[in-house]
Amino acid sequence: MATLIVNQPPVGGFSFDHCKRNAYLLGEANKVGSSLPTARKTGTTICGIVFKDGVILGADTRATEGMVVADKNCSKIHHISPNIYCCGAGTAADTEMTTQIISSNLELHALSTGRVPRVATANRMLKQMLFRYQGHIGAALVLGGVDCNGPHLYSIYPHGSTDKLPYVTMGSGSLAAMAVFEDRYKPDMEEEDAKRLVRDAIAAGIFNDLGSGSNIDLCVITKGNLDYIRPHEEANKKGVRTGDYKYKRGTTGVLSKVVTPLNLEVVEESVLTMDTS
Amino acid sequence: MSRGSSAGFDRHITIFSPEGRLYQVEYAFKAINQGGLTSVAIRGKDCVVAVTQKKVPDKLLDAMTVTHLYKITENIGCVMTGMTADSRSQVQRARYEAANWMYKYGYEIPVDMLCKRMADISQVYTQNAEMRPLGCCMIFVGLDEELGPQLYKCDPAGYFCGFKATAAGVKQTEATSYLEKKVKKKLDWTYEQTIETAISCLATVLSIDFKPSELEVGIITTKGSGFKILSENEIDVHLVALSERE
Repeated sequence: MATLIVNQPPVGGFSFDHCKRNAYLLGEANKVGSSLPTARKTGTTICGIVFKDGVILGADTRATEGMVVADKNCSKIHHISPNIYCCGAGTAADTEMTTQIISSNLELHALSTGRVPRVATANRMLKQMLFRYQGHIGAALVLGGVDCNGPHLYSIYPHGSTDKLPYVTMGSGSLAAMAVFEDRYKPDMEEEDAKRLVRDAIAAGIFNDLGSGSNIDLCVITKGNLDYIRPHEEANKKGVRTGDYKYKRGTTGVLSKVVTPLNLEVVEESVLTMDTS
Repeated sequence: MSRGSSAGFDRHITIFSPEGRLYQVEYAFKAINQGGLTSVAIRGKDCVVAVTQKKVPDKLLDAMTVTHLYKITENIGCVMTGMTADSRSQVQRARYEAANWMYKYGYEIPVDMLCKRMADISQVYTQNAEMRPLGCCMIFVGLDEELGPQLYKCDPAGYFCGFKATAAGVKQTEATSYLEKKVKKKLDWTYEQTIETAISCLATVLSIDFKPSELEVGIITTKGSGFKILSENEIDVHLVALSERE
């Protein structure tokens, strides 16, 4: 019998079978002096704002793996449906897969109802899934879109609580971004002002938080129109070297040149095949 | 070419007969007429009206507890025609489906989605040998946030459709032809016109001069506050207006 949602693992919750083994391996690794590879987090500054005609979502583009930048230009604004987008902070795999599952289920729902999907529906699906996993899925999301009831913006926490607000920020750079919002947000802003505000909020996160960096991505959603601007601004372009350590030809004067050809004979040739089994 | 012969069970459970018919489903349709009632529903420009007979056969029965109009959600109601017990079961299931939808998807279930869901459930009964189809016809009246007034009907076969006006029950065919004539003339009725047309349809087809206690009327309008079942006084107002017009 056909079901209305995409196949998810039928067992609820996580399998904790390997916890003991992992703890043992961690102990072993620490004894040698090294550590196990960490999950790639997105660090991140993400934010969203409701303006006069719709919502604007913004995100930085740095993905970190511990103290190393894993991806200098990763995309953190995920497509849920043509009128709904979602920024993700936290564990990169969790945000990516969660948004893909909900995007797929929402498309099935939209095809079944024949209507444009609502942001409230995406919110319900996301929060019910995250609550089911009791916070083990490390996905903190900013969900925004425009549907038949107007523009909506939600922030969703890894344990499954949500807030419906006119402006939200998430991620390690959320405090820096929220400081900018609290200072300059006004209801019913114009599109250009709102884009500038989001850009400034993300820039605050990029320059003041180590977990965020690189470029600023924007997504402007209005009724019937979508603007996915990636990148909106390359705030951290890689610098161009100003000097060169190579010496140009002619720096050292050549007094004389002698060329001696060496005639070598092949004495012995042996071929060793590589073991490719 | 020899016709396949059935083992004789095709009349007892929902399996195909050699002619490709499902006898149990056809019997379910006949069961709808067992109740002896007829219902009519009409969609107007900004309202939907459902009217059904109220027959209280026993003087000892409490008339307040006899009803065939049910509220499913704030903005969706239904009129059930057919076996009362099956009707109650379906209404309960419809209420559950509507509430579950609200929980899962965060908005009120649209009328067409609820009807589709009930029709899909009815279809399962036409395939499962272990369960019989339910002998009742559901007519949904509701207000959709995006599309306005909606009228849907679903039957024991699992078929459902949206209607401008429809009828169910014993005098279904006569009521439908009466409604067809009316719909041809005019399509966007006002609230008063819709109610009066529905009541006069029942009155004409059944040849009964209705008293307010013999009718049940359920309405939903774009102005009002959801699905409402009219009281006897309100029904009387419309009956009086109808008799004055004639």
